[in-house]
Amino acid sequence: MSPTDLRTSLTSVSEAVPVPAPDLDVLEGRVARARRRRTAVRSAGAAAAVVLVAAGSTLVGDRPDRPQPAEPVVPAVEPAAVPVALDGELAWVGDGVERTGLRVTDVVGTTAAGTVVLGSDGELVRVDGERVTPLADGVRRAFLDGDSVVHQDLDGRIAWTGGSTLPAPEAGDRLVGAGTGRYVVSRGSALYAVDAEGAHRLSYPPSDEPAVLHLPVDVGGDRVAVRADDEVTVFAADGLHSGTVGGGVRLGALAPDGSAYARTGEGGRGLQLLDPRALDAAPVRGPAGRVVDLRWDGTDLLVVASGGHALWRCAEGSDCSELYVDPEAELGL
Amino acid sequence: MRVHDPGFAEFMAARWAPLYRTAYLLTGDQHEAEELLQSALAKTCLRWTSIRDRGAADAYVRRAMVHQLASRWRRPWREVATAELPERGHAGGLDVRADHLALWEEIRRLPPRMRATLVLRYVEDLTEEATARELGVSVGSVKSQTHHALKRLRAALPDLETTP
Repeated sequence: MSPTDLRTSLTSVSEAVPVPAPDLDVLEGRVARARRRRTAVRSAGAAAAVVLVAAGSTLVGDRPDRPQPAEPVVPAVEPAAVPVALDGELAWVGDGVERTGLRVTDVVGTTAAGTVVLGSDGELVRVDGERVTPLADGVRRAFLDGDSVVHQDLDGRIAWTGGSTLPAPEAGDRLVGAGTGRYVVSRGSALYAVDAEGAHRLSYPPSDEPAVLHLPVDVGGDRVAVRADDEVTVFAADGLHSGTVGGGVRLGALAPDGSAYARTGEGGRGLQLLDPRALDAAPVRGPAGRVVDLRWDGTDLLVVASGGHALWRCAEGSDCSELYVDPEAELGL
Repeated sequence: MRVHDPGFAEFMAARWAPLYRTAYLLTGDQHEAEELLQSALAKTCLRWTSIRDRGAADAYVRRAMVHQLASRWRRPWREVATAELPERGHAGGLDVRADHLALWEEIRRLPPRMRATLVLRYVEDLTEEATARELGVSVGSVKSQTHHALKRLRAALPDLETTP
């Protein structure tokens, strides 16, 4: 069976299928509904969008190990809705904005079973359409481990939804990050990455100073990234130090597969993609102004820029389009 | 912008049929195809004034259809191979050669993303890179989906391999 066979068969089927007449009344109704969904907020943000695009045009470049996306020949289409915290409540942003009314402090991420969020009352829930499933109470922090969620409660207990085969944490461990098949804890004055092979001490900080307990830690693929003092230090999963990059890393996020580290540019403005192995960075065209939040959603990078008023979605981390602008909104990821 | 506006109405009249055929190949179902196309055209209508290259409007609609389908694939549990076709037997009513029909029946059973990959690559004649961009996946994923699709089809229809 050759591509020609496929092409011939598919073409012959498509030409044989009876084509209904277009129903203009139905289409008119759809257009009216779609127009209503496009919020007035989007219009209000149009001027800001122009400013962002103009500012972003000075930032050119792409991640060196990925193909440069071609210039689109048509305007980008509204992508699938993404979960964000909008003015403190869970909202879906995509082909319009849908607020859920659910108060959240953190969107943990999306699994095959739905989107996991941490509520403002410490309740960890999974949202799937209109169904909200409680997962745990009194949760202090939570991370995705594949389709499971690992969380630590106010009493310090670390647990997984659905269980885990990883080595158990020790008493007093503080959960600081997790990814598929791996979690990171602060234990005593050191950081440990724990995977199926056991616990690996990360040589951090490089000096003998005690580790700060509240460091932002990302886990992705076989990499662990620790951010402190406007620097990011990357480790291999076995704890070996891989390298440190400075230059004002105010915020950063490691891709779930560990292939890229998205970081803010100088002064927290703009966006760059860092290769976690070679440690070289390339600017990303699109998000401009002060970047206030970053989160990977599968292979897409979500970016809150313009001081918290604009949401961008970057396919593969670098092909960015603006989803939402509202000068009055407070967006979080 | 309204659907009765001359420019958009002209585009609709000229391109409805070929776009519907693409929608049918993407969904494998006539009702779903019409729904998908109507939805994509509604989005296109809203942005009609911003589409400067009207020659690219087809690509815009197709991209809207693929994005809408992709929003379903983002939840992996929804992407399942179709063991029982929703309108089984309907495709049999198409006036096409038996071997083409047999192949189409098997293509309809593929997971939607796999089917869309074949349609974009072999009917829309997109490159692997362009297909990857349309689907929002990596080029490696397009190669893999194509490879597995062909493998499944060859396994399901061994007789076609020997058809002259």
